[in-house]
Amino acid sequence: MLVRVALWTIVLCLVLIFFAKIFLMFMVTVFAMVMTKIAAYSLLIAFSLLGIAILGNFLGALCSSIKAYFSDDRRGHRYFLFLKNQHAQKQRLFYIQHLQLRSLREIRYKRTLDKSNCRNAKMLSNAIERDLNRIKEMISQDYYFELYKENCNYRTQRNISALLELHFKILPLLKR
Amino acid sequence: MLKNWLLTIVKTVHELKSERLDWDYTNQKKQAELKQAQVLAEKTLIEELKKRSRQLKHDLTLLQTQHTAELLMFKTKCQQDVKDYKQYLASLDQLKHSIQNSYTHLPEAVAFTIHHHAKSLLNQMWEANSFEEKMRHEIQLIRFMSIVHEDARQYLEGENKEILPERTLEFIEKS
Repeated sequence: MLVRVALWTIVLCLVLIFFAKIFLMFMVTVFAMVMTKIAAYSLLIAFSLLGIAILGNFLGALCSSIKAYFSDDRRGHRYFLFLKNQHAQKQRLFYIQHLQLRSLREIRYKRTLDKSNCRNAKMLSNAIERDLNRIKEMISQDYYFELYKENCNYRTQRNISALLELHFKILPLLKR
Repeated sequence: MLKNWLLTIVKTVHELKSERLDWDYTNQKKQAELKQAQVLAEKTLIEELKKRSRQLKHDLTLLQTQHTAELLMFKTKCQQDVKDYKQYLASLDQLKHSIQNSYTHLPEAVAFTIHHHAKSLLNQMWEANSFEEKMRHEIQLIRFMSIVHEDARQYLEGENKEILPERTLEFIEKS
């Protein structure tokens, strides 16, 4: 309705300007001035009305959007989606916690194994060292140092298989 | 001419208006029905959503309980596994001591070899992926340990006069 009034006012304004032009052509300046003034005011009113109409439409659209946003079905739908999301999150959390426990178990296992390997390597290396000291006089010094160095290296590396091989290499020398 | 032109426009506008009113009048019933159906559909949708939300909430509570119980069980199992592994390692150390105590002249290298083999069997068992494989390695480890103990017992009781635990070494060679 407001838009219609505004448009008609603009038409009126155009007509008034047209007549003002005619009066000016016939040199009736007083009428021309009055009409131009009326035309200017009516144009101002028309644009104000248009502005009010646009603002009103905008506010109306905003109100209806807010109403729709908080309507029962939209709220229900949002709540349903929230629950669904929570469901998925819980599944993900469970998987991650499961993985965390498994990793923790593996870490503990590796730590225990490392500790045990370290202890065994140390014991085996000590035994080799004892045997090496026993055969020190029977073998050349270079060979002794070679064996000694190997023992130290394998001990640092915690290489039990290599230490065992070394021990078996020394055994025949002990029996001489 | 301008008057005629304006009159034609006004007439057209009036015709369009009357046509629209006629259409509204004839389809009034249908429009009302459609509006009612829309309201009904909205209500049904809301009810359905509420029902599904209730069900989902119930499922969530169940899931939470189930997950908590499963995680607790798994945690206990993990702790027990690590404890078992430590016990196995301790029993392997004990096995080495027992064989060293039985065979007094046994070279240390042999005792360490027996211990190392038992440990590698234990690790194979621990690192096995499937349950069947794990069971197979466990049986092998138990067999090995029983052979070692049997050798030691026979040597102590004088049934076996050999200097080395031959059956144990044979087992190691075979595997």
